Amino acid sequence: MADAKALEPLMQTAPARPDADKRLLQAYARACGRWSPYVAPDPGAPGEDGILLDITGCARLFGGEDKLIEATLQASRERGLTAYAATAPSIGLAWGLARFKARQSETGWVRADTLETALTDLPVEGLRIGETAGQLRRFGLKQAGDLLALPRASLTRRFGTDLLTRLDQAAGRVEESLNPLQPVMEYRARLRFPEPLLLLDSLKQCVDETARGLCGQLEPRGLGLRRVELNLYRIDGKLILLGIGTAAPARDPAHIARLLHEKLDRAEIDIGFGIDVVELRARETAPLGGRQAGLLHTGEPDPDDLDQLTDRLVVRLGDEQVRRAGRRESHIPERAAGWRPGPALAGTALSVRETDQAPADFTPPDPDRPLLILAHPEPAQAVAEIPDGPPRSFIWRRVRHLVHRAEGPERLAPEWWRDQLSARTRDYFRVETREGRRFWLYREGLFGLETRTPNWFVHGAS
Amino acid sequence: MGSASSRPDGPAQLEKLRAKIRDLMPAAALTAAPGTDGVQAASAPLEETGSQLHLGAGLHEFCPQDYLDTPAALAVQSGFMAQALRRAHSPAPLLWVRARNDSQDFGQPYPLGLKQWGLPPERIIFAETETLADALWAMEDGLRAGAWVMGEAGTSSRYDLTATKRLHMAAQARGGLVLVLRHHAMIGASAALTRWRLSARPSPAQDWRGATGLPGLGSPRFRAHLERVRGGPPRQFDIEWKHAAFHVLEPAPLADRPAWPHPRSKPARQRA
Repeated sequence: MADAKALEPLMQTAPARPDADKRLLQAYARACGRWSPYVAPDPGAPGEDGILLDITGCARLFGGEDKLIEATLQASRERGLTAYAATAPSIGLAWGLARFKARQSETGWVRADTLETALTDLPVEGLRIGETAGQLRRFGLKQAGDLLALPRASLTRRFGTDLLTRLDQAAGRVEESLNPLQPVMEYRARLRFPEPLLLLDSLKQCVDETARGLCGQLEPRGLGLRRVELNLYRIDGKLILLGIGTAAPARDPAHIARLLHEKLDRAEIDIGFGIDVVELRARETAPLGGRQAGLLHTGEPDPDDLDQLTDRLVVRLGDEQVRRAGRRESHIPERAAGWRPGPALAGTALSVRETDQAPADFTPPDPDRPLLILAHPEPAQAVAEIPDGPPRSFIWRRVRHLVHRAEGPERLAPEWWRDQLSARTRDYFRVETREGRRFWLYREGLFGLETRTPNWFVHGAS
Repeated sequence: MGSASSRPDGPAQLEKLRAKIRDLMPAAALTAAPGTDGVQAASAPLEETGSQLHLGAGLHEFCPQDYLDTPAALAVQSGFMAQALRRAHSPAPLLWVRARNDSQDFGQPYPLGLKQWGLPPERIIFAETETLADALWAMEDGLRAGAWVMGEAGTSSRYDLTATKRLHMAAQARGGLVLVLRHHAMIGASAALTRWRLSARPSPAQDWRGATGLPGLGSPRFRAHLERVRGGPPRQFDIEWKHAAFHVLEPAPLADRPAWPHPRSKPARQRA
């Protein structure tokens, strides 16, 4: 470093940040989704990172392969990156060409039309074989063509099987597939604009349009949407991703669009310099057959209405905030029943829809249960006539209550297979105060066995 | 000057406005009461059959007398909702909306306890919102989708005449019910059909099922002060939750009396 500085005093240095590089590569690979749905980041040595795109069938949309490559390079350079590109029939060949041939070409990109000629000229370093390339050079084997001329058996003996595999991959003799960054979705609708969109309203119109397109694709196949992803490609190469889910398969474009509008309003997205590609993708679909409309108008709520209501609530209030009652096999009251978000929603359709799940049984155990239950039982100071008896009075939250009616005890033992040893037996009492207010209290610990000084807790009311 | 010149087409303008209002109003509210100004409710705000009480479609409010009566008010609210759902044979789901941090001091509704009060937990969508504005939106949206709604008004001043009117009309349009639990200290203008101020009352003692030394709990009783009924005078009475319905209790001296007749000598002697 000191020598380098001595030679060039104006040289600037910065520490390498591999993590940041990785993040940037990921983000940029995502943004490359605008060119092709099959994108994979290909991290290499520092300064050698790459992104693989499968452009099969995509080139046409951009006016041919040449134009597509030009556009990708242009976009990369606008972001301040030094980029070279190559297209080839195999991943291995494209990798090598982009790194070792494109640099020498004037345009910064090369195109391998025929596999054989391109491969013959490829330097051996371009075969993704690491240090083996150095050994090959020492033997005078400088290009892939030299290797192809040699008998395969001797190559394996000297350099191992890896070399042959890589060679075959580059030659397209062994199949190699890229592992796309985003799951590939069969159904999608996209809109591309020559000029970027800047207004939220115009974005919403695009959402309407793509929702119509997507639902139109699904209808002949009898499918409905369960999860939808809205990808907004910003003109400066950033990707904004919004996702929504539905309570039941949905195919009503107006409904999907309404959910997405709500999401757009809520997400406070940064449009930046504008968005030029809007893409709506079906992340998850489920069969949705036609439904028999009722012959008589009974005034009953339409199950579709209700599912749509749930969707709207989820989008506006958040996944965790919309819940359904859940039941578990347990004696411990707070474990036995509660409100569960998310997945509980999916299985239990609201009204007349059939579900394969048996409906939960919410019939309470014989002794009464309170209407309200505290998330955490709160300590109270209680006075009881006899150690095992109900309280005659208790102080809870600094208010003294005189007990005039009581029922109990209902003894609930801790679940030994779950709780720690410190968990104690609870004796529940249902009490009514002099004023008629009802509380649900328990005494913790069996007197004389588990504890000497029983503690009282208020767990519920009314 | 401008108003004078526009006066001639006043009646026409009025008719136009009326037509506009007619479009906006739910159909049920209009057909129900011809001759009135067309805003009257389709059904009575409060029906009494025998000693039983039933709420009419629309918005009703429940207010605890005291902070500690909040669970009692919620119990009455749940009871009335259960009763109405059963009476209407309605398969409508129930949307339960709570704004976070508002009057949750007594905990969350407990599904098993709700079942005991006759509310079907499997039909409840429970939504918790950050703000009351969101809660009001959720309640109204639920009503429009055909759900019946249990709500909480909390301490926010956003729960005002406009908000209540919207809720009430959304409920009436589909014959639904929206019951709102109000904070005990918050009283503002409201378009509700009824407003109940509630406090707990001691239940009749059940000697046969008490705990050691104390009688057991009878059917729950409440002192109900019907502060507001649309088209009726305010009243006060005791109600009891019995056989899954609310019954109006007779005044105490008439109920709970011995089987043999009271010696009613005093008034007679005075007359003589």
